[in-house]
Amino acid sequence: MESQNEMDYIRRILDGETALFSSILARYSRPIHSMIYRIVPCREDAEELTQDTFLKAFRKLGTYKGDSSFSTWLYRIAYNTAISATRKKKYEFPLLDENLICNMSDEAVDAILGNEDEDLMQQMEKAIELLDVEDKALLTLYYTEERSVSEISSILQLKPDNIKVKLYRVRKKICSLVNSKGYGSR
Amino acid sequence: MDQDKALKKILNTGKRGDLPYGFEDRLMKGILLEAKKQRKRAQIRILGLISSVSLVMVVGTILLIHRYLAVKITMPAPDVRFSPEAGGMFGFFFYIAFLVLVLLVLDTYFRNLRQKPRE
Repeated sequence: MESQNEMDYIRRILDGETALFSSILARYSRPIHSMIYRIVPCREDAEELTQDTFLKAFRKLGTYKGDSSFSTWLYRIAYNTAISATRKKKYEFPLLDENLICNMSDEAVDAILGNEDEDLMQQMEKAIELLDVEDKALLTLYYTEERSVSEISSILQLKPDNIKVKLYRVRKKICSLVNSKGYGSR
Repeated sequence: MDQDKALKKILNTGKRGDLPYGFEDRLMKGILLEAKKQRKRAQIRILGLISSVSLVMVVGTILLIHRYLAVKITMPAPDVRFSPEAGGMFGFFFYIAFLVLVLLVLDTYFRNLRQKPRE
């Protein structure tokens, strides 16, 4: 479904052809769920939030003006829904030792994140689990969904420069966690 | 970022959480239900709008008539008087009505009593 096609679909859905919304579901339900599941560590909650995201999107469909791409708009709703849920349910995320992040060299970061050793990758997977909500969303959008920095900035409502800095820092955070496990409980 | 091969691999193959079977169908049912509700809400809004516009027009018309046509509308109150013989008849009718009411209540009560053991 291309953007022009999507706009046409949205217009028709707003005109009463509700069944066409199934094509939007078919295209976006998996990637949206994938991002939410990264943020919310519970499978059932992630499913419920995916459902909430699409219901909200359907209710607000009339407000979509086409300023950004439809997927960006949808991801923003999903991100805000997931963030509100994490605040309400008070999921706990560990506190990282910020000093450790500063001590990592760029070369060391590149070496760790490029190393496909099984053990190291398992440690990285665990380290990702320990990141905060925004970092997880950022990683999923950038690496899994392959969104551009400007799209991510629109979804997370941050400036593109901030996104670049955050990406740089989150890479370092993962490596710091892998190297030293320097985290405690929040 | 080509140098983050391992990170990319983890994020693409690791925790993705597949959706359960029939998830989209269930969600679509919810969407259709929501569309139905929206249509109902829109109908109620339109009905409310029409009603309020009509009310405003009726009130406006009455005010205009009252102000510019100087029509005085007076409704005579009904003059009801009962003769002394009618009083006795009313007493009798009230007695019959009361009796019917009591019988109806008793009938309902006994019907309920009979139905309960069957359930």
